[in-house]
Amino acid sequence: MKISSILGVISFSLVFSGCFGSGKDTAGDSMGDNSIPFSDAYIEYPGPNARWSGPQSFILHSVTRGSGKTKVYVSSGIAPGKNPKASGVKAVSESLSVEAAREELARFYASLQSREEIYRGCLSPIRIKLIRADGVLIERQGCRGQTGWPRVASEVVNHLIESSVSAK
Amino acid sequence: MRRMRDRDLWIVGGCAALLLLGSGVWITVKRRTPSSSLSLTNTKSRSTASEVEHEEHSEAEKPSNPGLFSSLVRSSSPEEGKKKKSDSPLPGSCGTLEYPGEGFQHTHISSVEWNHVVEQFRQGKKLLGTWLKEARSSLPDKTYVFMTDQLEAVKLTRPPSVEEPDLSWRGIGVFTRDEKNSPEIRLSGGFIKWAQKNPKRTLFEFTRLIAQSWAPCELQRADARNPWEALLKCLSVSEEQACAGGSYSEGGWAVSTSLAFVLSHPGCQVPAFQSSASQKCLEKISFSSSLKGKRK
Repeated sequence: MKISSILGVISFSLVFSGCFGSGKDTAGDSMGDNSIPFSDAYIEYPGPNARWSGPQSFILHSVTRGSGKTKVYVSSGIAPGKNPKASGVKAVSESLSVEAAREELARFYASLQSREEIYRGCLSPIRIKLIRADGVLIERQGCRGQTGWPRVASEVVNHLIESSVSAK
Repeated sequence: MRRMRDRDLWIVGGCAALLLLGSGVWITVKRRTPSSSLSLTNTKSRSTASEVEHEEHSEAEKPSNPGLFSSLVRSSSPEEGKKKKSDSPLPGSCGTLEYPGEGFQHTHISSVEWNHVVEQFRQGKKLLGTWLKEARSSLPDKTYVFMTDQLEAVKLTRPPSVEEPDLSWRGIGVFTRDEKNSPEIRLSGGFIKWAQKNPKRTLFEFTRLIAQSWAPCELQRADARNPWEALLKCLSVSEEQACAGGSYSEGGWAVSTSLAFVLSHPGCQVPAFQSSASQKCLEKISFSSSLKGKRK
């Protein structure tokens, strides 16, 4: 019985140490194989509470699964076009190769490793989610206008929309 | 005895296998299912009867992970669109209309357009400056000096913004700080179009953006006393954790929107001030009879 108890405790602690090691923010040492590409990226600029009638929320979602062209989705209110629109989801055309977009996302991921500026009482936040092909999820929250990764996020958004629009 | 040990080993093995299987499922779920709480703020329907344009799209156009989008983007189906209309605030409410920009490389602003926008920016500053003078006696010295300095320092940057190129696709303005920590307003290309189409609304936006330099956390950073406590309490905005590291400030939006609403009415109704009780809250920042009349 003693042996079984000891083995039980060991296996329990091994199992659960594995669980805790896979926290939601897996950036950094626990990323493991850095050569695994990102399959999805979400970059979100949430608007303020509706009651202030402030800017609407914006999300860009890029899909870089498999091979071929990158799919880019943006909230349609901000989708390129002549007329103003309210919220919705709109796909912008596919033009950028998956490989090129993955390189862009790898550069973005590298920017997440740099030291972050501390912000307080942010009025225009930014949130990002990067999903690697093996399912590893990286999440960050920051403030628009900060130096470091929020600025790179802005460049990525611009580049992904620009490359999609120029293909039309 | 030996049979007992074998049985024990079988039990231990079985338990370990179950635990491993359980943890495997847990890890998979954790890794494959991104949190659906992507939205930081309450993004309930913000469309209005006057400004909404519902866009229908095919299944193929829908994002692969609608859960993430649905937290922010509500009109992903005609049914939802209908629901949204019925949930909309009263007609005449300020909507979230946004003129998209043309992108970084195609942002062209004529001098006439830019002068018009600069004039609006100056007007917004002037309105806040007048208000500040009227409020002088009710503000602590340090707070007054800080607010005056902020007002003088805030600058307007012509689009497209090199620092934030994504703005070139948007129709908004953002309050931020430059590398020298001076207050700065960055505009997107679409905002310039908006200013030509609806100058009343964009003057409101300018006043609000400039007033964001007086947000509670900005004052706290300068160790200046917060004069907005009564207003925030009246509007039921809780700011206990707002200025902590990595925080979002609802109070900044509340203060700046209230000031802009009182000083340069947008020509539409801001949902926060639709009730008579919330209208009364604005009296806490109206220092002259002329301002009291303006907000109605």
